[in-house]
Amino acid sequence: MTQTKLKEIAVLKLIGTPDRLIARMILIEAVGLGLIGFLTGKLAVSYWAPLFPKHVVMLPEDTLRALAITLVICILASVAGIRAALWVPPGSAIGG
Amino acid sequence: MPRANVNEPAILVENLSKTYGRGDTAVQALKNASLQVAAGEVVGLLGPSGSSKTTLLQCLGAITDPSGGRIRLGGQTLYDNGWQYSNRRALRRDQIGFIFQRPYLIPFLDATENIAILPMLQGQGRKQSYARANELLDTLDIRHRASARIEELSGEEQQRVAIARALANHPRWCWPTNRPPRWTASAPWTLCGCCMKWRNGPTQR
Ligand SMILES: Nc1ncnc2c1ncn2[C@@H]1O[C@H](COP(=O)(O)OP(=O)(O)OP(=O)(O)O)[C@@H](O)[C@H]1O
Ligand SMILES: [Mg+2]
Repeated sequence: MTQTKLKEIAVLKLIGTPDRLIARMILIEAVGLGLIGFLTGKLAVSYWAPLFPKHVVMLPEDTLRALAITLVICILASVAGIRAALWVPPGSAIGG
Repeated sequence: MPRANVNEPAILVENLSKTYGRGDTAVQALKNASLQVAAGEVVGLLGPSGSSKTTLLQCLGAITDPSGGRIRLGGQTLYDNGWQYSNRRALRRDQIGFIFQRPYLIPFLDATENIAILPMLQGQGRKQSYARANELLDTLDIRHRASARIEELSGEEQQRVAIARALANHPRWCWPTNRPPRWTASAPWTLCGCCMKWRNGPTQR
């Protein structure tokens, strides 16, 4: 969680956004980013792998496993984010 | 919600105190602070740095917990040695408009969405919420930037959107929570104009 992010969250709390909604936003963002990363990786592997002399065999199960691991990591990461977000006091949006 | 009592000041603060922290490092920011503001009165809070202006506004805005005393807003007791509302987030959403030192708009929403989010959080329909947002964009003279992303707006345009957001739910109180240093000369007048218009003809929910 960056400082600016936390400030935005403080503003959301201040104007009355419930914790549930804030948590859902963070989760969706994390999973979305993870999926983008995963797809980029997947495409890179499919397109560039033939250019490399040494090959690693990737079975469809491996891809699925990688996807599952990505999602788990994203959800774990967002839990940390959600905890930080729920902790931030709304007053910190104001400053000075 | 009871209507404002005409005989009572719009803002009544009695013996408000606020201590940050405890023990050796405790800071008593407010000590028996009392204040009365009549409806329609325009008041500026002046004082040297560290004189607890922000603290007072945060207490009035139900953002920070006071340590004791009483806050009444338009005949409603907000705080009497304890908050009288369990859901202060809903209280802020429905009744208090905040304008910050900087606009602090939500960057992943466009100008209209930044305003419409308030009625939507209140549970109003999408159509109604957008209509309210458009009405305010008109009032604040930024309708032409309605679908702009926040980073595409100038500083003052952002501040106008922030004012519109503060007014979106027809709040009974509006706190500019700090001096807004980046405002150009016309911006405070925009806010005053808005408040006057709003005071003279409040649209009742
Ligand atoms: N979260 C906090 N924890 C501990 N002390 C605090 C906290 N916030 C404010 N204070 C202290 O309370 C006192 C009043 O602070 P406050 O921010 O209300 O002053 P101010 O009048 O707004 O000052 P400025 O003009 O510099 O913004 C200061 O001594 C400050 O150090
Ligand atoms: Mg201050």
